[in-house]
Amino acid sequence: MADALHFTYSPGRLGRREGAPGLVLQELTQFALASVIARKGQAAQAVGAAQRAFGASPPTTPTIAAGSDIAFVWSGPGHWLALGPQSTESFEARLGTVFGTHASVFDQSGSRVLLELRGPRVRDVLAKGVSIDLHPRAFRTGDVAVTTASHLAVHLWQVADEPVYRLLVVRTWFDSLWRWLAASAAEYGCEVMAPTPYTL
Amino acid sequence: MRIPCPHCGPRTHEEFTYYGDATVRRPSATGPDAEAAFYDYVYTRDNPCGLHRELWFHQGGCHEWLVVERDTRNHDIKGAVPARSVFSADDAT
Ligand SMILES: [Zn+2]
Repeated sequence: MADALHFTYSPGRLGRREGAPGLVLQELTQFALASVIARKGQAAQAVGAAQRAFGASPPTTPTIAAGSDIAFVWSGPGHWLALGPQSTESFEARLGTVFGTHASVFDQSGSRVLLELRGPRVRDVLAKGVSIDLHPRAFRTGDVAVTTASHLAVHLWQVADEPVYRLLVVRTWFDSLWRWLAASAAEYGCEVMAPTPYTL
Repeated sequence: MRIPCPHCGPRTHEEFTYYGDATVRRPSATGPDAEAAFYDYVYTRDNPCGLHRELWFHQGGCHEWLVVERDTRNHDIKGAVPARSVFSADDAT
């Protein structure tokens, strides 16, 4: 049956209506985002500067490291995405001051959509478009993957053992990702929650 | 076919783009035989049977260049290392 919810993010039940939802989806909004790329030979200095200023060490393996109000998502060797709650202060300027000449910082706020995914069938849903192994023997809380979901480049990381995942996708690709996600979740039933402000 | 990215872990080859022979080196642009050397560098390729070292770019992952050792007879991947480790060693010599 055609279901308008399949075509756009809209709070409500999607797909199978009986029983508890297999997937619970929530968009996280109001976050600041910046890319941090270490200059040649400066990765260790960049990591040290962040550690001193934020209490979070930008990871050198595909993981996420969180300080009190900022998180660093591994994105490649010497390359991270910094995430934090939106504020009136410029995120880029705050990061730029800390990293100085050790890294280049570019504001990416607004460029991505961030989803949180949970529920008893969350891994079954993701398996329909993500080719990496998300079984706990291979992927655990704090692990990050830069990979593709339904052929779209995404950052995917696990935030709780339940498991709970976060998925970050380029905003202009979100419609395409959404159609895949909604279609993939329909057989299990999906509860789409009202968007909520980002927290670490 | 799976490629063991040294940064990301094992990934499907669909996340990568193939960029050919990793053993050829860009010739000098100022040498007396530059035109012939560049023709050879750009267009002339061997078609090896067996182990081959080749460049792959992980565009669906970490955006790093890799040197992958692949058996052209059966796609058996022997290993992958960051291209920068191979080419910076070149620069040093
Ligand atoms: Zn990679």
